[in-house]
Amino acid sequence: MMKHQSNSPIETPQSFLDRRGFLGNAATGLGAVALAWMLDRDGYSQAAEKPSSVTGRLAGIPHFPPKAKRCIHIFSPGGVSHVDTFDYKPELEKLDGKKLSGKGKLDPFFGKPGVLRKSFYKFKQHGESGSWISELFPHLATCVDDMTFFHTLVTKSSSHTPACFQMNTGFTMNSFPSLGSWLSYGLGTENNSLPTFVVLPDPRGLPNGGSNNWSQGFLPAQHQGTAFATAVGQQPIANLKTPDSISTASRDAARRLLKKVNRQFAGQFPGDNELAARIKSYELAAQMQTSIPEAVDFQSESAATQKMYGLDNKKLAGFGKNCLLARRLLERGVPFVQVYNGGALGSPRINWDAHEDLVRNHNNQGSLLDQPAAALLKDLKQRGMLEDTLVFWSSEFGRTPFTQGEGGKGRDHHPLAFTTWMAGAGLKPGYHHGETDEVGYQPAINPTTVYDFHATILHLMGIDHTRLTYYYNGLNRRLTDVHGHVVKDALA
Amino acid sequence: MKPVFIALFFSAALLASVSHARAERDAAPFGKSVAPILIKNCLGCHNPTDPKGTLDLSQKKAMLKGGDSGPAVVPGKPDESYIIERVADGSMPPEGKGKRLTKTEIDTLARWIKAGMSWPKGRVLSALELTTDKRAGVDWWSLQSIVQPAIPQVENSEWPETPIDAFVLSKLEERGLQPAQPATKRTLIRRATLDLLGLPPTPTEIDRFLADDRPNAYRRLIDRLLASPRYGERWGRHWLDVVRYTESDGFEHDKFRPHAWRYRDYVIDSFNADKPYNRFVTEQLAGDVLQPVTRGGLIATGFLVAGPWDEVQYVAASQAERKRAHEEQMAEILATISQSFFAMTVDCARCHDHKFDPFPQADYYSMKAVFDGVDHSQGRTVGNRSILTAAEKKQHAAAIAPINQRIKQLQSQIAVIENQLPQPATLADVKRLSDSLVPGKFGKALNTKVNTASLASQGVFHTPPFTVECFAKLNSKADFNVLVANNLKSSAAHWEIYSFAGEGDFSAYLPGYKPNTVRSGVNITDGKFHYLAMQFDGKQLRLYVDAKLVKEATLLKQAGTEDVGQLYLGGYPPHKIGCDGVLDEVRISRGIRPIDGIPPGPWTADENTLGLWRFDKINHNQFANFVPSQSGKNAKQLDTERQVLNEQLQVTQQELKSHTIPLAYIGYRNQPPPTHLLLRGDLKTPGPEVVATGFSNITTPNPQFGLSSKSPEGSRRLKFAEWATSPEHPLTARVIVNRIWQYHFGKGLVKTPSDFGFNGGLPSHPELLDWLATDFVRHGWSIKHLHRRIMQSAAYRQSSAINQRAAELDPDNRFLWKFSPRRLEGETVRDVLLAVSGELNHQIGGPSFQPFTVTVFNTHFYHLFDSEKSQYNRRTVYRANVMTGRSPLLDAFDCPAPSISAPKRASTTTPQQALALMNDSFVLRQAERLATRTQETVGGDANKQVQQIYQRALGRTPTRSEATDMVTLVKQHGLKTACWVLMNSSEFLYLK
Repeated sequence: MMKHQSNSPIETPQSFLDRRGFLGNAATGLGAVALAWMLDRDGYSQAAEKPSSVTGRLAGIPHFPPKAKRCIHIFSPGGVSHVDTFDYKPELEKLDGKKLSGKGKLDPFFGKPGVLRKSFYKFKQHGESGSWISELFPHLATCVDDMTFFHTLVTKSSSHTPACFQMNTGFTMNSFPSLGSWLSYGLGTENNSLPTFVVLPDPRGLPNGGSNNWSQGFLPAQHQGTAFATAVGQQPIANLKTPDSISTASRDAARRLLKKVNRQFAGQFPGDNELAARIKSYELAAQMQTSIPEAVDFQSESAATQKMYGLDNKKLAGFGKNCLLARRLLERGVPFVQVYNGGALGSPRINWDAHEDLVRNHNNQGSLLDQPAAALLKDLKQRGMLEDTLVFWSSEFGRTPFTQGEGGKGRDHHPLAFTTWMAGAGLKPGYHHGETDEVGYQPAINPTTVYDFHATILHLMGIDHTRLTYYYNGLNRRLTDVHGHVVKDALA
Repeated sequence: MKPVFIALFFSAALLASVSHARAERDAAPFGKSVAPILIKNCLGCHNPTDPKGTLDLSQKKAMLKGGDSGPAVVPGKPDESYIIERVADGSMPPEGKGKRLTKTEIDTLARWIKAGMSWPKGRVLSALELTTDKRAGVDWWSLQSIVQPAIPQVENSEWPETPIDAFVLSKLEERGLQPAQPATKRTLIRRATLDLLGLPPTPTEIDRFLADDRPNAYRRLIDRLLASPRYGERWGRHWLDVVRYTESDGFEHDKFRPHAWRYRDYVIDSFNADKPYNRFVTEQLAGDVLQPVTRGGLIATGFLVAGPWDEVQYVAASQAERKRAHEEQMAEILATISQSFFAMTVDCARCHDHKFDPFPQADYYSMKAVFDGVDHSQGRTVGNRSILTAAEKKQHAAAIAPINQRIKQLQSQIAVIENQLPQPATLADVKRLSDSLVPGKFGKALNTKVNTASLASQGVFHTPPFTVECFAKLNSKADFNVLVANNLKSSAAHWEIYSFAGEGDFSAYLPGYKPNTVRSGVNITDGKFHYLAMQFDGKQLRLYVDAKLVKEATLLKQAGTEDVGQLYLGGYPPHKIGCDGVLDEVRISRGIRPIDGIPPGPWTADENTLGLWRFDKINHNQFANFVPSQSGKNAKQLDTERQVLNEQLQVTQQELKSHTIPLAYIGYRNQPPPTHLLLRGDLKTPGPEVVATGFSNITTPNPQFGLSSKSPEGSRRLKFAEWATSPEHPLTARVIVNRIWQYHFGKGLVKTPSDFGFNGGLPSHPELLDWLATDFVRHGWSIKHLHRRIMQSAAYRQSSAINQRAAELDPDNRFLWKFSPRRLEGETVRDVLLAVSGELNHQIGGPSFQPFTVTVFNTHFYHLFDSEKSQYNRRTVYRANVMTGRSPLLDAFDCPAPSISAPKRASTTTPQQALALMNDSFVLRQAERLATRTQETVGGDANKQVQQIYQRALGRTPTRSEATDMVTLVKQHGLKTACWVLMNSSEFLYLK
């Protein structure tokens, strides 16, 4: 047999990569306690900046000192019209009613490009940064000096679900690991008794594609997003509560004996980490049974705080509660929370998919988003958390600067250019990155791909996006595939 | 053994025609010493496709021509040759691109230049030829032909029981290691049963095996297990992992695939039947064109479309979006094929030559040409297809023709009677009877905001001339308000009167005519009763509001089928179009009834009245029709006759149903246009046309199929399958043998079972892998033979006990000094719980059980429930494998996401996993059932109970101290608590 050197991450037991593969496949899930000891024993912990309170973190991470220690993604699915919200286009007023020309063949999703349509909303400058924001967001407008705007996002698909998948996972296909899963896999957690990646769906329903949006893909299953059920009377996560029919005394006795039995079995296989971890996992499960109910209980939140998030307003309370819960989860060590402002496609519209009547749609969705999202930014700031917390907001794409069909009152999907924003740690506050052309159709300068956007998020979390990899079928896979550049201009 | 190294030299440009370019053409010194230096160090950048600095070093001519910096060489003068200057000063290869050349290598190049640069005629070098420390070449180990190695000699000649053991022991001895002791018989039967069946042995089976002293007891055990239908359920699931089997579409709708299960059953049946693997592969790639075509062959191609499908690509009008989605779909299919059967990632060569393995970009598109005719759907028509063979189709047609004939006859008989009977209108929502009647124009009226009514329509209702009248009060013009609609909109016999959305004007719609829409422009949605009428004589259509003619139009009849369906009153339920208001007094008349004033009182029927409904009274969910019977027979007699006929009709329709054509989700095949390479994978930049071939980096079997872009798509897949299953193929047998080994030992000889390329692992026992592969092919590609080979080995039968010294030298047990214990997979955990509790439903095959309800809000949402009913207690492989309907219990035990290939299961330990076993209602129920079952067998004695649950759950008796602990628990907290402990125990969850 020829001597070939393999590039395999799992070939030589001694190689660093081998350990990675092993950890990925076998032991990251221990609630990571056994893992931590394993790292110590193997001497890998020196390589990593490993605060004693963090477990399950990949060796080598962070790759550099992170600006943000935790992260929230507010996702507004359906396609938020950039030219009606954050991307001010005065030229569009002049060109109102004219056909868009000079941009090649117009190829919107439903194939009926209408005429250019000026913004349905008035724009005004806000804050010291003088950022233009439409009247749709009076509350967010007061936060502009803490926000950083990206005006030239470009995505691959003009179809909702592939585009949502790309925003969430970097790929337009099903079952690739989502950003939250990658962070869970890379960062581990400071709190073993809470999930590492929590999803708070819109109270009106899950987004299109459902749980595929927070799939772990080929990463180990524990990195899958945990969608909290937030309705009254529901357990936040499956199997959390010991059934009422089982008495505490009986459960305690059973657990004591289980521990003994499991220790005896593990004793037959000295050095088997998995078996040691199983014993530990029952202790962590018990902790989870108290820590999750505590996290979702708002008793300790002041009336003023609750009011700020809109909890006193029946319409806003659903999303408002989720924003507040997101903050509470971050406080308790959950590294990544995704909050949905919008559900699936369909009728009546419960997301931003404004084909028929943009004003009617965006008025409704915008008012749901505005106050709670602004409250979250302000609340994080007043608690000093915004300094090392990253908040980012996005839709999956924007909407066409022209109407859908002549005489239409709505706009079609637009993947060629749209706006997102971030706020918090490590960013230039009040900064606007990239510019679209005079009508908001295409980037004029500094196009930002979703890969770039993801690379920047990982960068702020202390991760080099080219080095957060997982071996799967032939490649060391990445969130950013083989693409992506950190948007350095947007960083402080 | 020392496998022969065959140097296969290819030229990139000639990869498509590999018959040339052979080693013998490359005479020394160029072929043996110079070419490798250039290939390994220079060609990566200086190749004809994208020459860095415009310098191409693949051919002599190009080398002499040079690049941006002038000629690379001056023949005869190494000192003046630029190439020597750059490699000597170390600036080439640049840092990060390769290692500095050694002095010997530089000398070799210099001597060759000095001697005049001999270069075999026509020889073009390619970076893909040779393996370097950055990438694999055509000489990569897994691409070389398999030669059966000799069985090695070992020192400890006592231990080996099979050739496998000689290979294993030889590696152990090289490292100074010894194998572990044999496992006990009790361990062995549990291991073998869980391994082959995914279920635990019963206490009786254990006792029987322990009592069997015959020398071949173990062999008989394996034979028994392999003959069990449970075997296919277990090993079929392994294959379903590899082929990303999903039972829903994913993407936006994630629709359930009700006919996908047939492929799952095909896989299970194939394993149970020990279908030769070469046949298994061929059927999945091309079973639909494999003569003679069989049902199994058709179903097998469900493999091609077992992944996700984006239906919304066909909603898009955007051509770019459609093409993008289709191209992604094709890439998904090609990735699955190349990884599943060949452990190669050809899909990584979609945008450029493969970065790590010897696949030029053309290989991706040549493979695409093979499968370009495969699609999930035809447009939005879902790929559920008949699996009847041609002969069966004929039989089927013959069988149903007379039944259809009878149905038609009965229907027309019934129609004749119904035409003589006044038809009452039946209310749609029987739960809303109380608020369906409201005050009307005359007496009561139908509240169309909450209910609609309908009846079987009649041909006369749409035979011109006719007149339709009604009274209606409408509240809103936001949406359409349908007053009266006759037949489905798809029928040319459809007509309806309604108010138009937005404007609220009285309108008529007749899709069988042109124009199909007639609008009056008169708003009738003002919350007041209006008298509305439509007259139609087949050409002229007139609309009246309050007896005033408001619109007249001329219509032209169009071709179309005039299907008769229902007459709908107060809405159009098939499209969920309602009517926000009140409907009173509907009358349909033969001929043109003069409209000459608003009727002052309730209407009556005359000889021209075809239907009259007054909506004053509900009788048995119905509104009476006030048309008098027109036959001599009285209505009651007619009604009885109709009932008899209706019963006959139902029986006949039931009979037709029993002839329903069986469907499977196998997608569509279409003859594709010529396939083009796409530069940078971009649809906007098509490159040269390619034809269907195998991999260019394999010479034997020949990857050239002699096909053109006109060859039928089925023949391409068939040729490809023949090539893939050639006994000489270097990958097919190696890959499956390694997969089977992995499932037995927890780890493959190659640890990356779907990647035998540069980024994958190297085999720990390369000779053993090749020996198994040749043995496998020689034994008819029999997987059951392979199981016997492996399980008979002493290596497999070792105990899992730790050996401290070996653990230090080989912590990963790569060299098999013991049997590695491992946690059961999610499906097995669930199946074992059911088996132990006695609740397992052994039903084999058929549609999946669906432990969820579904709501649809564009996306299909799956809401899980837990049920104790037997139909939900089938083995987990029969659980509907829906992408967004995954189970928290199975997820916690690492069941992979459907729709993505899982060549290897993860084995994690998480608090969520503990929570699932602690509190999941399914698990708790199984603990309870085990307790009940045990009490029924052994009665109330706690000692006996404890003995029994240990036997059932763990297949052994408890030690004395275990028994004492457990009995105490039983006495204090009940038997089910003790069962819970065992079902949560590591021993229960581990195969050792």
